[in-house]
Amino acid sequence: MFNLNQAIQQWCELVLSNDSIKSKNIDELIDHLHCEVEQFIKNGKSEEQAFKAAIEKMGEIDMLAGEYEKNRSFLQKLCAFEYGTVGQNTNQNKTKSNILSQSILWASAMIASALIITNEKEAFSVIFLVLLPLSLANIIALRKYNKKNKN
Amino acid sequence: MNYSKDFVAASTTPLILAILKNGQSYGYAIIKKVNELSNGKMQWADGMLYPILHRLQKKEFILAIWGVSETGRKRKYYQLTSTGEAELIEQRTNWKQLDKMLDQLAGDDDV
Repeated sequence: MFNLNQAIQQWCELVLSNDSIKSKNIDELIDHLHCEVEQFIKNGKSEEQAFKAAIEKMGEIDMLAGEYEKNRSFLQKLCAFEYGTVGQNTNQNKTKSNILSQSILWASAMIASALIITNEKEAFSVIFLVLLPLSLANIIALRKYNKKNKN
Repeated sequence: MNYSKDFVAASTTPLILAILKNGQSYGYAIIKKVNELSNGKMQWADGMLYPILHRLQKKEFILAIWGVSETGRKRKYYQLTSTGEAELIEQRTNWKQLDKMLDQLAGDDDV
């Protein structure tokens, strides 16, 4: 027997497993799905058909996530870049981006320490513009990854 | 025929602001309204609207208030702010200006 609430719950979990959509935005999407389902049922569809049609109208989750992604700040994007990477080792591109960001991180760490040793003024711009945001993203990304692994 | 993607994208903000000028509303109702007004020619992908609403909220054109629907569900309502109203006036002026330019160039007998 089809259970609408359960189906919607499962859909939410799928949506939330994508890091671009935050849980604070999910209630709004749930309300939308219910409205859409109610309309389809009014037009004579069964609950199950209505749910399927509503999901289809909502669009692909990847596309949906892409739209939400546009709203993120620079640091959040950086985190996603890192996080996706640590989180999904199967994804080739993500692994590449992880290697890239890690290389930049270590390279800038080395440059920054070299600059500090030689007492260069630019040392601080390297630290604040490259090293700090990247390491911050790294820390947050790792924390997220650990949290997800616990679940 | 449906409108092109670029045209839909460009007209989204003024449409949302104009709908909210008539009073607070929520995502599903906004989509339905646009669909009705355009006789089904303007089809928004459902999921597309919410991130746009959040962007408009960030720009302080609209503000969001959590409320409850007729059936008791949690629902987010959006309202137009005074900044949003000013933006709507400006966008309308721009669209009118464009319309006038097109009229002058291509004549208005064909439309």
